[in-house]
Amino acid sequence: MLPAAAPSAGARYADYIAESPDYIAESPDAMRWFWIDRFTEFVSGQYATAIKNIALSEEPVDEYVPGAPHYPSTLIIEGFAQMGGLLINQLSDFREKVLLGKVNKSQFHFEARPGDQLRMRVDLIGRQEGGGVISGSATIDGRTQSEVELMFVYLYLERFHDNPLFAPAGFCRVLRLLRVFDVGRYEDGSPILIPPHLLEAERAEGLAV
Amino acid sequence: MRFAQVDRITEIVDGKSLTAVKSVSLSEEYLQDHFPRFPVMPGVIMLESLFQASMWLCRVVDRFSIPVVALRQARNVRFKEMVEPGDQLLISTSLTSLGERLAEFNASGSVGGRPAVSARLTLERYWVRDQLGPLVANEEYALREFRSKFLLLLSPGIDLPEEVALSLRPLRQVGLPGSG
Amino acid sequence: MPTSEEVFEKVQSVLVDALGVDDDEVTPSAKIVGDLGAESIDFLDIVYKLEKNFGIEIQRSELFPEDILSKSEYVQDGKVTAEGLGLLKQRMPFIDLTDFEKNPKVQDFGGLLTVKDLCNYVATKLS
Repeated sequence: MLPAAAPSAGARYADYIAESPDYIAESPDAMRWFWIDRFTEFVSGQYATAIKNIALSEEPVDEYVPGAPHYPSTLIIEGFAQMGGLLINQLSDFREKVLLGKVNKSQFHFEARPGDQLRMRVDLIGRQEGGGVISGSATIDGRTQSEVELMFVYLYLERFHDNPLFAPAGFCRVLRLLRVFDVGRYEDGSPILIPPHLLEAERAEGLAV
Repeated sequence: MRFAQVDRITEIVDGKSLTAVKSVSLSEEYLQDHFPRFPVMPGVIMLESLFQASMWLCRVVDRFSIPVVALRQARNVRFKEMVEPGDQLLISTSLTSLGERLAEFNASGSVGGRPAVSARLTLERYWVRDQLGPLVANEEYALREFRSKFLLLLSPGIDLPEEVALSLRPLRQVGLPGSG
Repeated sequence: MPTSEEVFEKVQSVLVDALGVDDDEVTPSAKIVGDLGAESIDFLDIVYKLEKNFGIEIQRSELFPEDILSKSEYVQDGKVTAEGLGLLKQRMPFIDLTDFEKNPKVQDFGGLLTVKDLCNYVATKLS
């Protein structure tokens, strides 16, 4: 049971991130810590699919196993986590942040290698007070390469909203680049539009058309 | 060794457990983006550290005879504490089951005495040829690279079992097809 | 209505899955935090899996009475007051508070829950 008096370690972790609301992207450089290339489907509250290409020139790939390089499996988990995190974020028009709290399980059947294209899918399978659960799987040439179940914890919404340091324009650039608004749909088929608060932030930077 | 997430191996006990250190430095690539204003070690990089420490233990157990040691499963991975630049993640991993191909580990990491991450891992050891075809020279090359990397990480004064020490003797040149 | 054995078996498999412990560790008297090593993030996982496996909906405050334990009127010098204990008993009839009452330190409350308590809780939700 949660200790009620002292904040738990998990809460400290969440607290810390909550104080860095610009954590996903303040500069375009933050793209280097994105481990999917683009979304191909994004259905609000349901599921998302994405592509991740494996390239020999990626920093972590080349020398990972000298002579037989492959893509680190932990970064596949991160790709799933980013997809799942955005799927959950979208439910609050990308205002809330979630944090990967637990990898319930993950399995890798074979290695992803340079030249491979990972086709990834995540499904939102559980939502509850304080968190959410996603399942994910990826295929390479039609063969299942990996399966995961990940658990997210919500960050503290009110602190996040009140924080004047939040710089959503960079985050909006990331979402555009990942094609969220090109492929994003609600269940009824209507498109997911760029939320007004993000457009406003772009306008404030003189970026929006 | 660009994705090395273990900096030093500090103890190996009977081929059963291993402790290691991952030092977190502000100049590391991933900390530039994760996150621009608050650099903290990403959870999956903590997990990678646990995997790599277990991978080294696996290689010791196998006397550096099998070229690829890959992650097959990570279960019950719990992230508990922030790890920041200047911190050292102290990693400890122990072998809980050893099969012909699969090996299981309980691994955890702490910072300043506080638990930061824990996980149950399954690793598979295999030959390059099992996935990529007959690349004998590449297998020799991988083995040599991992042996020399291991020696680089090993703290001075660690006693290795004789068979392991023997397997780490200076190796012949990269094998050509047919010489392995 | 599942029998109490069936409830126990399902709760056991949820805990084995969520905490990575072995079947035989999950005895009725095992404390979920102290003996099985559950941490705060695991409770989100356990709640999710119980909801899914039993088709029930779990209110956070039913299992985690933080609202009581963090209110100054129910806590004095780090101990739960008589009034607070009354509320806890009312809210959580499935948990045995006999030992806790002797020295009701707030910080000890989190470690009380046993596998049996959790089974009782699930049974009350099912009935």
